[in-house]
Amino acid sequence: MNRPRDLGRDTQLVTRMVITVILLGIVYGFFLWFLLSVAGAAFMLVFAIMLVLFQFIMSDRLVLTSMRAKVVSPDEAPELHQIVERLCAAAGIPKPKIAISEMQVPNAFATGRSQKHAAVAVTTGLLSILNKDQLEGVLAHEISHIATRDVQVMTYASFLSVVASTLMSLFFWSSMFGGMGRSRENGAHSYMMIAYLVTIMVWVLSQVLIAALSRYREYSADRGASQLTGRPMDLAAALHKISGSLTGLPKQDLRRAETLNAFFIMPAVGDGFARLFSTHPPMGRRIEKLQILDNELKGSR
Amino acid sequence: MFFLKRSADWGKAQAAMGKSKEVLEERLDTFTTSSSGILVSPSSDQNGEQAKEEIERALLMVNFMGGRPWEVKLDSADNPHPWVITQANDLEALSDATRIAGEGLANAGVGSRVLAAVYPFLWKGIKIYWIYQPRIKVFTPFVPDNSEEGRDHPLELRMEKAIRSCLPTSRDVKQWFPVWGLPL
Repeated sequence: MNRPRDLGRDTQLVTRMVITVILLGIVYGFFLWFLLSVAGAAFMLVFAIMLVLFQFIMSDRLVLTSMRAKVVSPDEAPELHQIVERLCAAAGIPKPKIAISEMQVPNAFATGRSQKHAAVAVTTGLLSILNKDQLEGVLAHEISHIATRDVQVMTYASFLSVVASTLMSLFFWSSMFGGMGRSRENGAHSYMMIAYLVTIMVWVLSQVLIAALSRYREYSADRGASQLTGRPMDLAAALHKISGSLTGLPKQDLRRAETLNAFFIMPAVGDGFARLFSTHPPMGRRIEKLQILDNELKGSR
Repeated sequence: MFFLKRSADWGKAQAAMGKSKEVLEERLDTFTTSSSGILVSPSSDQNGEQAKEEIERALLMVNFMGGRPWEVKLDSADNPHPWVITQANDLEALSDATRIAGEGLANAGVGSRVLAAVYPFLWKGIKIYWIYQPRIKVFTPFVPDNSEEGRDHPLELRMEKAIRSCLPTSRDVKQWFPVWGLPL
């Protein structure tokens, strides 16, 4: 068996993951202190953690179910299994579960709390628009997420975020209807309202931190995919297609297009404000980075 | 005024192509072939034959020029959209010929019906194309693959990225029209 390719001492990714986890730890440390000493909501905290712990253990299955993805066997999807098997051998990781989601939106994702409990899923929409090389690029990107363990970090980080979001709902309803057996007269209502606001702040902060890490890990996974396949431009073409920009690649001949008066299509592109919470970097930047990688790989051949 | 500006853009774009030889060879490993083509649309009241006659008259003046290192001729194939074919030994002469032929067509009143100037290049034994679209004043890449009316998107993306610093190109893939059945 060939020696697995070194995907990744991506020092920057590791540093970012560590910093994110530390910052999240500080945020949640404060949150825990607040819940236990100020809001006196130990019961709610235990309830929320138990609820989310269940979600965490079941994470891969829950994500697959929520995306209507069905795990497929090698007999059901032989080509998909072959590609993933080859990529996993190259990356030196165990083969994850493979699932297909009956969704027309072209997409793919990796999930799981460890390399042994990981799953890669693709939608039928993705399978219908990509050719084999482009599909391999996308799967290599997902395998790279698993290989660098950033899926794990994201699952842990999201776990804390889900705790906050669960508590957010609990505090909201408690503040609406009075709190935890105490009467409105002793100030429990105000405490619940404050706890609710703090929970919102914690949740927003954790979402921003997660999104910042997530944007970088996409670049890192693109780089890992390029190393696994050696063909960054196939992933670039796949990203174009997934984003819909290559779906816009005209099929009709220039001579026919003239009669359709389709020359002056200039779509406005912009991704301004939403970027702060965006978990993926802008498509254009990813494609440009892939083009740079392509030049580097060609130079090293 | 509009007509003159368009003509100037046409000339500048062809000159830019003529000066891109080294970049095209170094960055893309592509090599010039000895021909290029200008695709013309017939007017609504013309059939293919009438359009060809009109273009032939327009090219008469171009071919009167003596001592030129290139040739310009009308493609003989029966085609509702006529092709003007230029031939030369190097890219600079080829782009000169394309510029002059385009200006000849413009002087004869056919300029507004020029759909494209197409430059084929060789890349690893296959032909890839740069298509200049005068209506949007940009070059767009076109790489047909082996499948029926299929295209090699990754290579097209790479072509555009590699050349955008020296040729006017469009990053909007919606403008990357194919031209099938090229006589080049």
